[in-house]
Amino acid sequence: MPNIIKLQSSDEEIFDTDIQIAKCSGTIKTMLEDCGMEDDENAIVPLPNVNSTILRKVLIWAHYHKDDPQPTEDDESKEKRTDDIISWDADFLKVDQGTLFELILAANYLDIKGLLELTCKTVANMIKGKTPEEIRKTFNIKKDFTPAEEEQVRKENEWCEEK
Amino acid sequence: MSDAESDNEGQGHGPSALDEFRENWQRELQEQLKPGPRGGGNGGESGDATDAELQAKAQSLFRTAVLLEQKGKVYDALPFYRKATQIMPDIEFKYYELQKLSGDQVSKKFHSLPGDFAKQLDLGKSETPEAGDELSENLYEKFQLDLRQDNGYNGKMMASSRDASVLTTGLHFSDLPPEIVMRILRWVVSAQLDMRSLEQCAAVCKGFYVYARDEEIWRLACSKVWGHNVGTLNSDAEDADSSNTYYSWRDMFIRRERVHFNGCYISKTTYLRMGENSFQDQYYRPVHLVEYYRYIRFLPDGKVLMMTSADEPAQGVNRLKQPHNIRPDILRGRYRLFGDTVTLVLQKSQARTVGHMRQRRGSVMPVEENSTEFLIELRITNAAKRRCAQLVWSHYTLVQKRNKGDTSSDFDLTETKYPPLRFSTVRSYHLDADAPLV
Repeated sequence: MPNIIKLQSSDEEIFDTDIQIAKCSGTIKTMLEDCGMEDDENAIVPLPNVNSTILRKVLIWAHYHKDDPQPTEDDESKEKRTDDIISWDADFLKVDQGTLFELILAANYLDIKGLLELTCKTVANMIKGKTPEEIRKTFNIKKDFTPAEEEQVRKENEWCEEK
Repeated sequence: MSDAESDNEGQGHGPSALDEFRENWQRELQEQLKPGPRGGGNGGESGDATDAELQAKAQSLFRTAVLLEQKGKVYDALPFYRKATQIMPDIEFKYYELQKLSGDQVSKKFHSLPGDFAKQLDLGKSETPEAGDELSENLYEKFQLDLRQDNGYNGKMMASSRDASVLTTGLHFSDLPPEIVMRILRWVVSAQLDMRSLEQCAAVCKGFYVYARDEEIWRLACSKVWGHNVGTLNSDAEDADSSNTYYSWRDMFIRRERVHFNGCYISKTTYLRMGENSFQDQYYRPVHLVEYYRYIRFLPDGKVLMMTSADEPAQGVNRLKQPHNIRPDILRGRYRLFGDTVTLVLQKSQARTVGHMRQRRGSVMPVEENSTEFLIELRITNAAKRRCAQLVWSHYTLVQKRNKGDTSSDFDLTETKYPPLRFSTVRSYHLDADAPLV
């Protein structure tokens, strides 16, 4: 059984990848198993939704996290996970917003749960504790309320205003 | 549309074979739809329905389904949807186009969002009884309509504030698909139930409003707060008074008595203690002013921490910041909400053994052979400016277990020694998401 498979990004760059690392991706794992590609040395897995920049980044993450234990549902691991953007992940995600969103889309498409949760959590922490205006500024979002609508939303949300 | 077509076309190899197949297939369908026993042979005799007839049939089925769904009868609607799509796989689009032309009211609620998300929202909507519509203006529906009708959005949920004339290559928040945005919002709310941040999102723009009012998030939050007692939106027959009726999960979360998580309940007890007379000077009678604080912090997973300390709140609240890593003098335990009462069972924290760690969530903490338990009952009341921001003592019992015998003693809950606890927000508790809301 070959240990290396070839992944092809949308811009047709080929990535020779350790099969165990590639299998972090549920999508690739299913493709390999369903198509019986595992035994084919020259098989190329096309990934038309991911470009080479992002795929390289994703593979770096997958390589670093290849020995992660499978997430379990019991309390013990949950409690330990509280502070789990460890410094490596934090460094890994020092990217601009567009790249962060591309990583989210790639993680979603490739079905890499750990990376998807990590990136979504990062975006969430960019939102938490901010005022609406700060959120708009952070993500370049246009305010499309009329003044009356804005006032009504404010009233609806009054219950949680800090006094 | 192209998906549906390619599925059907999969069988044919050339245009002529395809046409033939399609004709036969439609004929078959037409036959199946005829009520009662089928007439005679299986051949093509059973009527050459025109496309227009089929479309009319499919439309009426689809309309019935839409109406049923609007009334909240989703399961009844499903067979109609299925039949309609069997006749015309693209009926949804045809129907939508038709409604758009006629400007019919029915279409307003539906198809405003792309793909599955529209369905998800509609289903969430149908759980909500009609009371929601009594609001002077339902922003949720209005915004959905706005987002669909205004061409400026290009089918997205929010508009970019970037200068359109400047070319940018980076993705915008609106490029994320709805299921991803919902996942992000679950992280925003997180296991801490930071609904305030979610409400801040709702005030960002119309698209965010629609996402943040998603009933599923609020339902999950309610089930975290009240656990098994969460109940349903429609009040049961036995407690049909209006205070227990909520027209949405968000409404329940806001109006029903609960405890706050984004801070600490604090009370200050002050008393005077007479000191010993001085040996030499009979006239020197020292009086000590004793001041201490009681802190209670509730966590959304049913755990609670209590501490009495002389520390001022500014320092005191920090000692309860990390629930998994607290000092041994802090009492820990579990709580439950019953109406406007919150019941606490607390114990002194001990070095936790593996046995304790394995306890599944929801079960009562194991009790040691010789142990002390504090049973507290507090009544949730409203403070001047904030709902549920005050806890009044109604019961406090100490149970000591020693050699399998219990001794329990009640504390005398005088107002001076046990003043009500008042809530105060602690920002640092909710800085970072811990785990997504699930």
